[in-house]
Amino acid sequence: MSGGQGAGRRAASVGEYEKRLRGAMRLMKGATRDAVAREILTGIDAQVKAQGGDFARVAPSLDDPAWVGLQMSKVYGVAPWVKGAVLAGAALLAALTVPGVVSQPSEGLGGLFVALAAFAALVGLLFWGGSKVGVLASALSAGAAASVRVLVFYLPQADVSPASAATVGEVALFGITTALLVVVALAPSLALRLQGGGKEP
Amino acid sequence: MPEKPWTAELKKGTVQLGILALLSEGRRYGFEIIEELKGKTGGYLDLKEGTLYPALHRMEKQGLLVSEWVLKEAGAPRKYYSITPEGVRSLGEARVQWKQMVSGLEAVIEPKGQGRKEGNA
Repeated sequence: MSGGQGAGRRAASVGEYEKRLRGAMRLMKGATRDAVAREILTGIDAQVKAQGGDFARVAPSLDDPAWVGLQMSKVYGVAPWVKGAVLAGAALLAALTVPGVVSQPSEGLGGLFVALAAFAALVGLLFWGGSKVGVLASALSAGAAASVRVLVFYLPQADVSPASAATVGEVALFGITTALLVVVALAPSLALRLQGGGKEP
Repeated sequence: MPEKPWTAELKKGTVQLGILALLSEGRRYGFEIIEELKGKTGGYLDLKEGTLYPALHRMEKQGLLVSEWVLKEAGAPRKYYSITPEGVRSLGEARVQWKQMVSGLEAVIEPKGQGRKEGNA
């Protein structure tokens, strides 16, 4: 529709249009992305031919290709490998969030730094994933991250588990931060669903 | 002229109905749908690619349309969309809803006798 939400940065050439369209669909399955790009570009080609073969004459009436790609991503969702990568990344980072896994002693500055950095990265990954991979995959990633965190917390490292060396307050803090991971992962996808823009593909 | 957001929202609901109605006459490809909808609605439904293709693909996923690539002797192959029996059923239901909505809203938007009252005041 004229001048709608697609009125962003226009492409100056077909090549730029295709590059930005494909860029916005990069998380989609490869075959689907190729088919969608081919169809849209064929349509634009027909439009260009109808206007005398000059892309510049058609360009002002086209949507921002990045926005078009985003709309198509909403229809098809992300590729399975992206969901798998988010899940695996979340599980790996979750293990690193427990002090002492990488750097000993666990209460040392090195161990705490690694744990905090991993926790920040995990929150970022889950939040990003929550807005990209859908509710189910986000819930699975958050569940995996929470499970790994609890497991590592109670597994002995050098004969002693971090849980047995922690105070009641530290265990409570650990529980709260672990539960918050699920909230962080689900909040964006649920918010998108409420807005009607993030249907589960 | 840029469209106001609420006008775009109003039109959004009519896109699917317009596409289904057009394809009930026979199969079409993307650019044909854009041109015909624009022409037949007097420019009211002037769809761009960012609205048309997501709508077509969503409707195909819902089973309302099917598509096939058709090779041409000259020029690039084109992807044609056809309406399915499920799409025909949905179109029938949507037509009934549309008529009820228009007649119902007309009574609110253009109340009978309101113009005369305002004119007398």
